[in-house]
Amino acid sequence: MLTFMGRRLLYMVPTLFAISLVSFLIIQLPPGDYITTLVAQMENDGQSLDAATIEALRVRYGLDEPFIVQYWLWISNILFHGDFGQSFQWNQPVAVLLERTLPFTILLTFSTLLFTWVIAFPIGIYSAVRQYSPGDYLATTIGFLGLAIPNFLLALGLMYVALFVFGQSVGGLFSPEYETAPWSLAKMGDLLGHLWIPMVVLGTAGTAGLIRVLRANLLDELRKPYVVAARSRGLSEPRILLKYPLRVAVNPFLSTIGWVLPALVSGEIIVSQVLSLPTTGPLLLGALRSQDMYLAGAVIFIVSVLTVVGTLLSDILLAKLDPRVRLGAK
Amino acid sequence: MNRSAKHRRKFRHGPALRGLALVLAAGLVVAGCTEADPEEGPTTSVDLGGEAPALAALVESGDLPPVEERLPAEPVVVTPNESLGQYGGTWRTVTQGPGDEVWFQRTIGYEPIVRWIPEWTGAPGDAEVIPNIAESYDVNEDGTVYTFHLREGMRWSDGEPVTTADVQLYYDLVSNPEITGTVDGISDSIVKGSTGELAALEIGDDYTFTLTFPEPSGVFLPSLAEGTSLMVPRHYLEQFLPDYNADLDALVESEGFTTWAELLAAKYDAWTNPDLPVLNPWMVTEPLGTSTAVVAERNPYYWKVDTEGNQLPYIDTVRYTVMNEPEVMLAAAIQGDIDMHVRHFNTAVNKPVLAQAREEANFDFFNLIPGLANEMVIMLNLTHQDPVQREIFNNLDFRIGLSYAINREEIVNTVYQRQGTPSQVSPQPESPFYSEALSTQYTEYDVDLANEALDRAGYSERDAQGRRLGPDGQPITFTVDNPGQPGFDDSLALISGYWAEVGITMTPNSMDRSLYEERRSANIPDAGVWLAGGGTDVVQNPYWYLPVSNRADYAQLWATWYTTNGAEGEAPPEATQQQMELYDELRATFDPDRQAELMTQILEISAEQFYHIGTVLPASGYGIVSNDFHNVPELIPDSYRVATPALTNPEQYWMSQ
Amino acid sequence: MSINIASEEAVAEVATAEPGVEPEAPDGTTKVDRDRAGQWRLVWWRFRAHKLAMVGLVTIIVIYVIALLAPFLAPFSSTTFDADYIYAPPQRVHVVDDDGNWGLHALGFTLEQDPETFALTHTVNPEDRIDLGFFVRGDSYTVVGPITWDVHLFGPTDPDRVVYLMGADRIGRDMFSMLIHGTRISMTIGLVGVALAFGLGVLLGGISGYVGGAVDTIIQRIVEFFMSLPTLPLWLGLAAALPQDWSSTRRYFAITIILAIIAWTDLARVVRGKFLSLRTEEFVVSARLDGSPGRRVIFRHMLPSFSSHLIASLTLSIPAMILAETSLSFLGLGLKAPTVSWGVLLEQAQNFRVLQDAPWLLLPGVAVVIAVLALNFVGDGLRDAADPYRA
Repeated sequence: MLTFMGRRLLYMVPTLFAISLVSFLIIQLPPGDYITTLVAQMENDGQSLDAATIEALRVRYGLDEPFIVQYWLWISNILFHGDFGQSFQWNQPVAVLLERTLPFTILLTFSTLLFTWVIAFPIGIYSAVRQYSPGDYLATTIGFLGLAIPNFLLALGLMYVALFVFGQSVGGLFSPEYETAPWSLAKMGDLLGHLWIPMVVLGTAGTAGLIRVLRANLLDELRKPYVVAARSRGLSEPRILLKYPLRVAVNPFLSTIGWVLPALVSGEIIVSQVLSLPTTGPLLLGALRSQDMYLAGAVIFIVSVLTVVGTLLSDILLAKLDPRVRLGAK
Repeated sequence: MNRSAKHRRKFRHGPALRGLALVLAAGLVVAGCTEADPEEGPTTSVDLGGEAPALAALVESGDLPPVEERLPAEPVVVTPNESLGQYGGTWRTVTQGPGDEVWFQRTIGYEPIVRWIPEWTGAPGDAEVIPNIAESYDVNEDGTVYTFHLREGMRWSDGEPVTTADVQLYYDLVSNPEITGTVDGISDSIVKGSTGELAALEIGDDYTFTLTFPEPSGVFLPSLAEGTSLMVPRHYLEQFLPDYNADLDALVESEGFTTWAELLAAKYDAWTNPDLPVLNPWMVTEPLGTSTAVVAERNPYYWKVDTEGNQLPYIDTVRYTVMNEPEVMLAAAIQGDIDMHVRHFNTAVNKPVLAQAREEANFDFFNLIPGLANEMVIMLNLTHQDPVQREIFNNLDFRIGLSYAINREEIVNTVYQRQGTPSQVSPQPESPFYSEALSTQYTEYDVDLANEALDRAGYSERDAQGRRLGPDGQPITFTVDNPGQPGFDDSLALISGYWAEVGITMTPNSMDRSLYEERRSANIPDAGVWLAGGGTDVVQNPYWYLPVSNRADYAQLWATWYTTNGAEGEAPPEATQQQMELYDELRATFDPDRQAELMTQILEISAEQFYHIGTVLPASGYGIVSNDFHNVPELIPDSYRVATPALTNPEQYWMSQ
Repeated sequence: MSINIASEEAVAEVATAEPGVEPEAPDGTTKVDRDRAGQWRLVWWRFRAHKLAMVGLVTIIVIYVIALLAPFLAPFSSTTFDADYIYAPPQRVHVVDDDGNWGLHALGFTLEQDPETFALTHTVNPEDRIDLGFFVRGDSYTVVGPITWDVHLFGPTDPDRVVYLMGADRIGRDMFSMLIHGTRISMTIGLVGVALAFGLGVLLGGISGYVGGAVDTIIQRIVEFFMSLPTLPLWLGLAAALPQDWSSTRRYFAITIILAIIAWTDLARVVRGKFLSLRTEEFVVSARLDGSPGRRVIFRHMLPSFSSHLIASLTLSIPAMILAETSLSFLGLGLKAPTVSWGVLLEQAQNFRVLQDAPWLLLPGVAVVIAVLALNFVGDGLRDAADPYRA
């Protein structure tokens, strides 16, 4: 087990390097740079910059250097000083911005995951055990509906309902009176009151997908001879179900926990943008749009690194649960 | 104990004094509130006591000097728009965060040394400029020597006096090549004369300074009025400058920056640095980037009073909730969560939605005089790299033909919610420069006239598909770069159809905004579209009428020729050169009447030259204002040149308590 | 972009995977034929028993027929508009008019605008009768190559009039026609990416899991790398980096393929995991000990044993592509006008004005939901039908 983990840790190094390079490259792909965006933005508000100023700005932000030099500056600062650089558009260190938004992202991601699992597990198991029952059809239809509605439409729809039916203030994670208030029980309550919309929107598609996969896996297992044998020995149904089939059926989930994160971040970008949440998603979208490269690079890099770590964890979990995987990897 | 906790909660929920409750001790708030209570309704005769109750309490406790000591000897007296107000309230509005700093500037950040009058129309010269930070100013006859007199006893928001030393430091900074132009707010472009030389600064005494230009400057005062104070808080910024701080390197390092210029840029930013002393009516206490809102509280040293001598602003707090999407902002407005706003979501498309919600949400509309000269101007590239395209585009009859072929009425009806008038790029009817001839030439929809003009242009030959052939015998086709502003897609799709009817193939090419920028600055596009400014700010935004700035996408090379004094680019035709000479003369003319004359001549030539093809002159815009929010004029000029709505003095807005 | 975007595969593969099983059978030709027929018949029988799946199948067939005949079925082209019908509500079709005269017709609208609020009101004008008919002449369209035709299944008999059965959009175009035109792109464009991702995923995942060792390590590192990158930034970057002079359809096609190249990783991981755990199962071990070649072990024994899982993943991924298209259009990165797809149509529907004044602009959303549901039901039915453990 230890060698398995050690080897996996070693493998992470080239992956991380490639990731850092690509995170930095992605921002450089589109034409133009932050200064182009700045010029465009100022022009929208009727100001204009002359060519000399534009050149001076490029020098100030180090945008006149070749790609490799910029990359080296960036990565060496992260590696040797833990410094993610400055955000151009916020005029603040990237670390400060992340400190502010990451907790909300993590909160949202975890509550969404929790929501997904809590709903998906019982329904998925029920659907598999009672295949083709009315309940199965109902769960299937609702599950598929959840998959079929585009996230942003669901977000807009729920926002509309919250606004006109419940008269709740929408957008953001706090009501105006709590935005700048210190943490308190009331503020927590206010947060939870706002969290449900993004949680439902983000979780719906995931829940539906999970139900489908769980049902499919479980159906596969339930028809295997050992289950039939167990049943013929008179074991109770819940016991049969929980003892082995469920554990095997859960395998694919464990192997996917790791990369739920980038998928959630991608999904979260749209939903948070629609709902104006103070999470990392809109920060990343804004940074990508304005080519605020250190900010965008840092977010992509951090999410990617977390994913690699998550994948590692899920592999270890998998190896622990299913010895065949561990042995096979040798 | 119990009771006071209860009180605190109550206040936090109430709209009044919400922000103050967070910064001041609970006891103070109670005092402030009880004093405000008896003043129900829009009273005009009640004695407000000269200052906000919360400040009065601070004075009483000895934490703040009395109001007489905080105000300058001669404070600015602001005449309220309708009525004298009452103190208190939180002005709730929204912002998109970074990239949207302009909204802060236009609400709480417009305190230049001289300013526009609230009834600004865009008249040339200093006809609509009044003193602001400066108590007064003198200009010599030919407009070369400008003397400003500051207000004695005027103070920064931290209580330090405002003197000419602050002007001197500003001047030192803008003339420092290391930072000028690259640190936001530090730029020498305003104090540069038309020859590129800086005006000479002479400090008279603590309150007097003089700027002397080598040649007359006709645009100096108006450009100051757009938002330049000519000063920085010296006592605060010195610590970030190498000349004043020997240990600067250590400070730069400990703050996490690599150069002192970066540190200065971060510190000289009123929206992210709450420590920066300001002259604004409200000072930021909850800066951009720390939470989901930006909050600004009243500046206790604000230097303006109402006609009764009460210190302004009336409103305690301005709160900007950060929202990414205009649709979410619209939702907030529908909900009644916005007290006054004129940005982001005030489109014609949204007006019916807001109109339906206004009764319930307790707000109403006010109108804007539009500042745009056109909703979408099509700019064929007159200095195209390809000689054939250039020949075609430079053919006046070709452009006239294309203009006649556009059904502008239909564009108004489909794309612009039936609002607006078919027009070329033209000053708005409210502007002193409005000319019906310029506005309406070639705007009628007439396919026959269009075909006639195109035939006259020499492109009467057609191929089998009915496409007109250019001088090289190839069908005339070109693309239009579309940076994707609202309405552009739909309008261009329609226009592409209209032009196909007369045998011209035009393909709209929608693209990302930054790619558009890249392409246009490299002179690559066949043609481009953009919103045309210069509807009311005609003199300030002249490049829609003659190519004198790199914003003139219809003739980049001519503009370069002008801005580099003929060193680069290409020499424009005679008539355009004549325009440029007139414009040079205008810039060197101080007399507003003469300026107006010159601008009119420029516009006449512009009409003859017909550089670009306009579509629709925008109709009046609108903003929303709560029914409990007072002193907002019914009609406000809308232009980025005048900081709408700040030119109407937000410090005299007040809210019913 | 839902969580499931990473699993893009094509249902079509199910059909190719199954016959691949049979020719390997060692028995005589006749038995192979009989087996193959039997297998298919069995699958079909089981599939037919799944009612929702049958409903889904019929729906999908109808949708693809609509896509095929779109220009004929749609009364108008995707560029036809009428300035007097912006945000016009759906019109009703009448058979008898007030005077008792028979004949299919609709009534025109009079448009008024409130000068202050800019609100539009459409009032039915009983005087303005628009006669309707079948096989009427209207906008001409391309059938194949240079052949054009101008007959439409249904529409106003006067080609200069319009009738909008599902209302009109912001510039007065027919929602009904747009919906039909949009079917073409929305239902076809994702398939390529899905097929590609499926092929890559099964192939590389299989190799990785079956061969193991250094090959496995390398493939796993590649998979890990691709999976760690959030897709959206990659989209943003790639979308902006593609050549500007490409048509938007071509652009989207290119991005679809790029996305598929990234998306195969998900499936590859699942397949590998399955292979790893199956490798030691008795039936696989005994097949190997019997001297079956590796290819045969994979395709005859291992793949069929978890084809149900593959089908379940597939089921979720074609719709995921359709949804991805709508999401990307929402961010302005997907297709752009003048291309018409459901996503492009939905882009104009996401504001309060539409929710309040023109909710019929959300109909493309309904179309997406129906198509995705139908595809899911079909996939679900196939999964159950192809289940080898089912008695």
